[in-house]
Amino acid sequence: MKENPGNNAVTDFDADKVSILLIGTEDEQNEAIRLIDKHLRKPVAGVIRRVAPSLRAEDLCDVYQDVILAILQSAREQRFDANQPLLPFIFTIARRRAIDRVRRKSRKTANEQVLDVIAETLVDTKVGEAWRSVASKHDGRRMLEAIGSTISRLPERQRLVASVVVDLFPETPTLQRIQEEVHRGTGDQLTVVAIKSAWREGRKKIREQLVREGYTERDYGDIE
Amino acid sequence: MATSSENTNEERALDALMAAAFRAEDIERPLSDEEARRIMENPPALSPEDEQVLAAMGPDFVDKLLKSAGAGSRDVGEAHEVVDAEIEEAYAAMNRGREGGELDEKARKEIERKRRELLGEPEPEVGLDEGAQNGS
Repeated sequence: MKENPGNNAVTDFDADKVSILLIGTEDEQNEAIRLIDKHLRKPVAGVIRRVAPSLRAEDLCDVYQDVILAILQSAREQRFDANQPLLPFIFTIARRRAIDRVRRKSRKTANEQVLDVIAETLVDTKVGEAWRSVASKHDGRRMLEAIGSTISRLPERQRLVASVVVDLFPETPTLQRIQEEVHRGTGDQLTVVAIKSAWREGRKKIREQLVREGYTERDYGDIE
Repeated sequence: MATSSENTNEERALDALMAAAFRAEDIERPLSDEEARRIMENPPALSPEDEQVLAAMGPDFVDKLLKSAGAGSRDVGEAHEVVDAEIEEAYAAMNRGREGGELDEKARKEIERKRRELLGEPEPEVGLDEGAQNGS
């Protein structure tokens, strides 16, 4: 019986061996692809999910398949460069495929502009004050990673709503606007009540994560 | 007691922090070795639905994919067009700051040696090595 790739420890992955197989014969390349899938399915899917929280689970699998095909094709066409480190190559492809997939549907404001608005929005707020405090004492990047991971782990409906809010920022969307965007992105017609409930629950989990990461309840007040 | 306006500002600030979590980083740049290592040590989180769908792909997912790729299915054909540009872009980005992206002869021989060692293939006789192409 074959072992399910999702259950394999990623630490067993031998990148040098796989790189060498990728520049070998067709059978060797196939074996390399099998090893990549066996050991890296979850990390690659995690990279895709981190970049694209709005993707549905089945779409995430489609993007994963595209990544595998991209690696296979680079090998088949002898464009895979064994001089380059393999893992950054694979994860970079995963990121780019995820970006391509969500970009088709996204109405994001350019990131440069968004960063300015984020900074302005945090000024004179308890959340902003707490953020600066955590960022100065600890690692701000780690904090953002924790928030991102929390959103990635949310159940689908909550994650879709959270990702709409993130995507539309700096716009402050109404529940109806979120409803429209979820429908546009997924085809699902959620009720406003369902949106509100999902968002309340999603926020609650994010808030709990903030507490675990060092914020205190009084830092951000009663966010509902 | 916080006013409604203050609460709204705090909610908005929390949204900003969430946006920062996903949008503060330049996700289009290539990943470094160090970042890849961190991903391997601590893979990014997946939702319960993601886990289920990935598990449902099964252990023979690649074999099915290779079969359809071999048959030149429509799906694979379409993916190839996108993938072409994808690989070029990724390599171009990863090669930025490096001189040339091609294997030099020494590196190529070393890789070929490792490949043979790994696959248990015998060393080629002197003089025949130059014509060998990836062991095929």
